[in-house]
Amino acid sequence: MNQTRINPRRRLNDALLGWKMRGGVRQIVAEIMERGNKNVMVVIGASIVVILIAIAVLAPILPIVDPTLQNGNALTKSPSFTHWFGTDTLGRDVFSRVVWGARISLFVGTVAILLSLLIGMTLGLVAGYFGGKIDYLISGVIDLFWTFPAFLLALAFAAVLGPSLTNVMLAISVSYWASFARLVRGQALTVRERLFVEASRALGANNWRIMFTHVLPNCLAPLIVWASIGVADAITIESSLSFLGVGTQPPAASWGYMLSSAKTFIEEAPWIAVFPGLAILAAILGFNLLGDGLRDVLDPRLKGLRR
Amino acid sequence: MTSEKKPILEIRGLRTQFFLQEGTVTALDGIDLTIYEGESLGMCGETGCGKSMTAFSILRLIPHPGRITAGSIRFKGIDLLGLSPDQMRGVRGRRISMIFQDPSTSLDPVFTIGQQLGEVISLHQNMYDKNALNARILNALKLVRIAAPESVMRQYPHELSGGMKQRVMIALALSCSPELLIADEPTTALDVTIQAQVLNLLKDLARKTGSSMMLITHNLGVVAETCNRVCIMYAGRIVEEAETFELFGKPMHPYTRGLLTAFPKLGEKKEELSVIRGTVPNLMNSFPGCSFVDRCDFATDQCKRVRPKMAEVAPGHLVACHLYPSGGGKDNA
Repeated sequence: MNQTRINPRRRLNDALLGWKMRGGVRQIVAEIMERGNKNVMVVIGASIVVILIAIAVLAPILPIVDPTLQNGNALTKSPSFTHWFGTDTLGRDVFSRVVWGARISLFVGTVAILLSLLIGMTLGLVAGYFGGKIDYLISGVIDLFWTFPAFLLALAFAAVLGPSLTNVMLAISVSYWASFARLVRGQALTVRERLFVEASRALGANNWRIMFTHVLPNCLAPLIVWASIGVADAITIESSLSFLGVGTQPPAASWGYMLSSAKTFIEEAPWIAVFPGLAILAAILGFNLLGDGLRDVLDPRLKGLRR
Repeated sequence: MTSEKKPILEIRGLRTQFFLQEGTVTALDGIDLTIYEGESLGMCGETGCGKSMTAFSILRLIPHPGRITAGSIRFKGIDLLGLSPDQMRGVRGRRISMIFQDPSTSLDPVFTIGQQLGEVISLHQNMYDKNALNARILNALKLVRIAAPESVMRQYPHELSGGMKQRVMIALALSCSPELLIADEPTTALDVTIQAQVLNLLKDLARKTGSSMMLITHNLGVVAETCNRVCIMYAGRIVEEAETFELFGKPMHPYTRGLLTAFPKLGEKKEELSVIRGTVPNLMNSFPGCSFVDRCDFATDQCKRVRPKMAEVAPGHLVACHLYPSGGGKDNA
């Protein structure tokens, strides 16, 4: 009997090992590396995303003026060599604001999606793996969230929570996690029936270990695709919320807010609206292309076709 | 012969039932089974007779609506049915291991062979030292005679052939030197030449490590090749149990005899293979008599009314049939 006792250290290791998921991630990364660079969409999408991330990260050290600096001598100037994207009605440099806006958009998009991924993944995994009453309950909640369009839900939450950066991220996560949960649940439902799950149970693995080391890594590919497209969605939602005034608050430079404040001058000074609009377009295009391309790369049915 | 051997697994009166909406299916109906140390026992019977269910019952891995409703399973004096789920997990893989039918789906496609072996070893042996773990993984792969274990370790399941995968499964199952290995149709998904290799490997390894083996198969040839004792199952019951030579030489139960005549012999000219007429009875309907009665050529009134009990008709040869009154030891009726 004593031999079958479980030592507490092992239990801790069980939990830790679950979160590492080394193999699954490593294989997917290898696959993306190997086949991704032959996929035009992935290459273009990834390039846009990488450039945006570089701009966002490097914004504080780039040789650009302070995005909140109001220059009374250069009000509403059209694009020139000193102000590449022109200046707005308060004399702020639009280029600098677009660059700093990338920081906010990407930060909000990434954090919100990571948060909803975490919630959705865990709940979906639990629902799909255990099934039965637990699944019934969680699926009910998922369906409840799905009855509302993500944007409306986010708008409602942002309005209730009050406008701030953190609340925007929370609002987006709350309205977005259900798609991840549903995706993972569906995957987990099929993966848990596969023989290797039974086999690892016969070799002594417990439920949590099976869930996180065997079921989850086998659901990762669609999750990565959906997360990439999700970031694009989150950026849209953030911009829209800011446009409507319940998102990021001035004077912080947010693309959505810039659009909103430029809309009254669109005839006289179109550059104030056009450049942040183009930035939103580029970001969404980049993440969507990346997501679509990754779907092709990671789709097992297409594996080997293009080799 | 049996008296000097120590039993490793004793199953008494095991009954496993599935509770479906349409009714209760009795998948196992009072199984009595003993596996001795170092022996390999063959479980034979047609599809759906409860061979795999016996294995899943031992490991307590019966799929959902099923439950063990009666009986006991004792493994080296431990009552497996009385263990907590945690304790049971400690038994699985470390003391009792299982190999599955289809090696191509029994391995997780997203992990390398080394990672999967490492998981099982570190799980059961509390081994966290990377070098020691790697050495263990390599040893396990060498044990199942995989050429170039270093490169196989880094490969993913889809890069291996079916036979290789089954060897990896065997390595996985044996990596913690279990005392009992359950092999559920380990060769069914493999082609014939590989089958022989895998069977020889299993036989060798069982002998080398001294572990007992329970081999589940519907192929009597595999049993003759590998096992020293055989149980014939029919409709959730064991109907005959004997040493392999004894069973093949003197089959007693009409079902066993039917099975053996249905098996074509090499060099024999036959237009048509003989068959056992009829099909397996529906396990949802329970009736008092012998479950083989509808298909049996020797069925009597007694067979319909009274269920035959297992009786020893020759030393170590048990059969459940009214043709052989207990202790009778008669030759073929």
